[in-house]
Amino acid sequence: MTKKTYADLIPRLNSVVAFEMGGEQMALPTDVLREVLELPALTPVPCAGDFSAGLINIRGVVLPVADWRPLFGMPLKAADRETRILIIETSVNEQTMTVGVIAEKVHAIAEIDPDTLRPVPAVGTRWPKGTLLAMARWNDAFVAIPDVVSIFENQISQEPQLVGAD
Amino acid sequence: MMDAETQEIFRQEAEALMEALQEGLLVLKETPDDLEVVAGVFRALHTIKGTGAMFGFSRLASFVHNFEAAFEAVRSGKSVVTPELINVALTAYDLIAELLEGGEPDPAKDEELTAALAAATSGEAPAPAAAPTASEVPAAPAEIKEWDLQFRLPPDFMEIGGNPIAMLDELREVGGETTIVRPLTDRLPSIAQMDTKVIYTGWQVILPGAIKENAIRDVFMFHEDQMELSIEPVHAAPAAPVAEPEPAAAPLAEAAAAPAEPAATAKDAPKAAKAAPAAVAQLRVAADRVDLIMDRVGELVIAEARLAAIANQLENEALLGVVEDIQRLALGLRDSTMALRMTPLSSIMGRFRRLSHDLAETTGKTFDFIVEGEETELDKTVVEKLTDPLVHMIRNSVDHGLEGPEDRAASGKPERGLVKLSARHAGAEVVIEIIDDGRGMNEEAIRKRAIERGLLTEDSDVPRSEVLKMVLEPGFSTAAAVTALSGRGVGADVVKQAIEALNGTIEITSEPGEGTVFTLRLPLTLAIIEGLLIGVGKERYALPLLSVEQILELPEELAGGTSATDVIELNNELVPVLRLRQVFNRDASASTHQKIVIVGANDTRVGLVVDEIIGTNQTVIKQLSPLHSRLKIFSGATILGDGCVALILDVIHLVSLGQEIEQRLKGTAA
Amino acid sequence: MSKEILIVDDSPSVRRMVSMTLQQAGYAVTEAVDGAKGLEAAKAHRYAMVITDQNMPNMTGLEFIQAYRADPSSSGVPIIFLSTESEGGLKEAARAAGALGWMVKPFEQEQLLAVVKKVAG
Repeated sequence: MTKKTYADLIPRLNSVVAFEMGGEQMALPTDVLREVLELPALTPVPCAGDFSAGLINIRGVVLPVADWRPLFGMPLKAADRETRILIIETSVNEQTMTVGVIAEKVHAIAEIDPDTLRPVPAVGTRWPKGTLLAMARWNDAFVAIPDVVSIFENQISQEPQLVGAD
Repeated sequence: MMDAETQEIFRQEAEALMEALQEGLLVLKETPDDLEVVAGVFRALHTIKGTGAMFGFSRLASFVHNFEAAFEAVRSGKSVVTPELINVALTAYDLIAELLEGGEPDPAKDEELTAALAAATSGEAPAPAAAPTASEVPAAPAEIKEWDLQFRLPPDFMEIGGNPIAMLDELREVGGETTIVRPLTDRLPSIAQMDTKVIYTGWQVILPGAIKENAIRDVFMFHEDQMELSIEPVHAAPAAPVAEPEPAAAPLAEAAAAPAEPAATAKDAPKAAKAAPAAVAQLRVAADRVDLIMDRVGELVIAEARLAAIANQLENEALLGVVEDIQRLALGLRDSTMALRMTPLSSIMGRFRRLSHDLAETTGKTFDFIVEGEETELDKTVVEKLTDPLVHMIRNSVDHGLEGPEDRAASGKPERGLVKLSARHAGAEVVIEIIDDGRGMNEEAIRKRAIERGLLTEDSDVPRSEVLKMVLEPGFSTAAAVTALSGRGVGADVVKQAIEALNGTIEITSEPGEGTVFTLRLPLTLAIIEGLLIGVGKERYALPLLSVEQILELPEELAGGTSATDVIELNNELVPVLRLRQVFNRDASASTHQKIVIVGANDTRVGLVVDEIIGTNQTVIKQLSPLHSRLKIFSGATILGDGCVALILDVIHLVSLGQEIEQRLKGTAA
Repeated sequence: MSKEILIVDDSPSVRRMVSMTLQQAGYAVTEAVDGAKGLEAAKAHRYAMVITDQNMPNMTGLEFIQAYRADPSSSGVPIIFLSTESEGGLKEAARAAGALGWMVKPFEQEQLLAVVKKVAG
């Protein structure tokens, strides 16, 4: 999978999964989405930082689950009936990685009008630089379209937190 | 066209043959008179040639033909194995390897080496490579009106499964509608003398002149030499049958002699087959198929654990009985599958013998290369990934470790140096040592260099073993700098990376003037381990059972502690302790039955304070994703019987954490 | 009922090439990795044709043919002997031992099929 850019995004907007976290509407093109699951038993990974929600077992395969909320400065809401995990397939440093992302609510598979596509404002948003591909409008609300590749690559290139043995 | 799988089978086969060839050549270097090895080399060459040609490596086939001719001369006693022959043969081996890999070396090399091989075997020119196909016989001139073919099939034709009717049919097919077939019955014996299995009839066949002579000969392809056959072009009217050719005595005599010989052989044959019990039939299987089985076995083991969990809940005797059976079978299957993946180190030793041969040539240093424990088995993946690091290390031992003969003599050492590669099993690990009796490593020079490179600070108090390990750090030095330092380092950081990727460790010990020992410790397998399941807070973790030395009740004086680290006295020895709940920042309150699990690696121990010992389990190791793989404290994850994921603790990392604590404690005590 | 052919060769790639070629042409193929296994198979079952390599460890193709022909049940079963051009001298020996014919390695799939069709039908 190559890096998805803003221009590549337009044809991908006719099928997105619309979801929600921290009160924000978000959308991801379904070509990276493998499935949407109810939250299975989650095994936390100590010392892995708050981006890591833990590990899950999907039909005998161990998958990592990421929690984007700390990254976006959102409050952590305890899991409830509406919590879902989006299983997405992305590329990290040219290698395919399957990973889960926690969503507080998943709305629907939808279509976004490409005319509503806007670049991310450089200032005045909660979104750290490089975490979104674009903003758009859907159902009369702003939706953020995250840059999955960049989010994971940045996260992985960070030094892991050292074990707190002191 | 060959399908990909056949190509892969060929590739694997060629690899094995090449390995056998090289091994054979190197053995011959030591024991040139071993005719059995010569025969082995010959057979390897022969098969490489035959299959190579079949898979489109025609240049290779014709070169190997000449290579083979040299060893045929040895095999038949016309020539002997000399060091020169081995040297040339090894260079020839390299050319074949390059050709097999699809390279296109300078064609002049083929001739050069062919000549050298010939020169090395009594100077006789080798037989030129036979043309890959039979030489074309020119087509019959246009004016030929007909072919007059007369033939008598071999007397045992029926006995050996031949079919004269099919043969005549084929001739009719070749000749078309105008073909005329007439029997020649002049040699029919009286009925009383007739053997029902012998064909006494001959045939005359008249075929159109437009047919190529080769097309006719092709029909008799197998038998031309054993039978009477004449093919005469007829230019005018069809000639009357020509005079009978002299009956050839040879085929008859052969036929008569034949039964006597087989009878003798037949008796010996079964004995011969039994006399070689060592040759267990080998089956080559693509590695990914074995991986697939391993995955399935992993899933089976997990499913079995779930079944066991349910059976325990239900407390049904009959069900528990079946579960036990399944457990036993699953374990057996696991062990057999793991055994499939186990490969002896000897499978890569040929490369190292070759390397030492080449190094002796290029460096001019004389040394013995000794291998110990090459029968030691390791997971195939581990063996493969080990090759390159070992090549680096052996090369470095010779290049930088061993002194030249004069230096050695000057320091009172035997002129011949020693490089030893030894392997042995130790618990769940394999220990591999690369030992040389060279000049040893210069700690001060390495320390200075490491400080220059910013790997150490001036005032850092690092033990000798850690200083020596600096040569394995990326960016420690360039090759030239290291040589000047009498250290090592070409690709040494590659070595470190490769060994760590295999969850292994490297230790270096070195005494100035006496030599250096690199010790590699590697896990036996990367797939399934026997695990000890422990509870820390609300979570469960797995530890490799083989690294667990002891489980103790938590001593009272430690029970109240809340710091991540502590120390206990065990058999008059201070052992560092890690409170896993604190290390992991788990906020659940401590259990009242905390235990200490003493784990060991690299002859060092560390105690782990845990809340609960749950029991042993079959731990199917799943690799962590890039998101977590850099957390060295976990070596992987596994799926438990209830379907939950548990992390596997990396004992080697925990132990090194413990050592750091120990260092600090000593520091404060001093 | 497809005709059954036995191939005796220690080289997996040759065995596979032979098997694949013949199976695609509708023959049933049994593989034996050496002379001893080949002998076992050939004595246990009457094949429409046996193909054997010469150059094998433990028992050569020639020895295999001799041993098999010593068994009366082999009468009428054609044996094709695989050799290389450098083993020309062996042809006569193989023929004397009871091979119906030989094929020179390397051979193409088409050549193999032509020979098998001719010999086994």
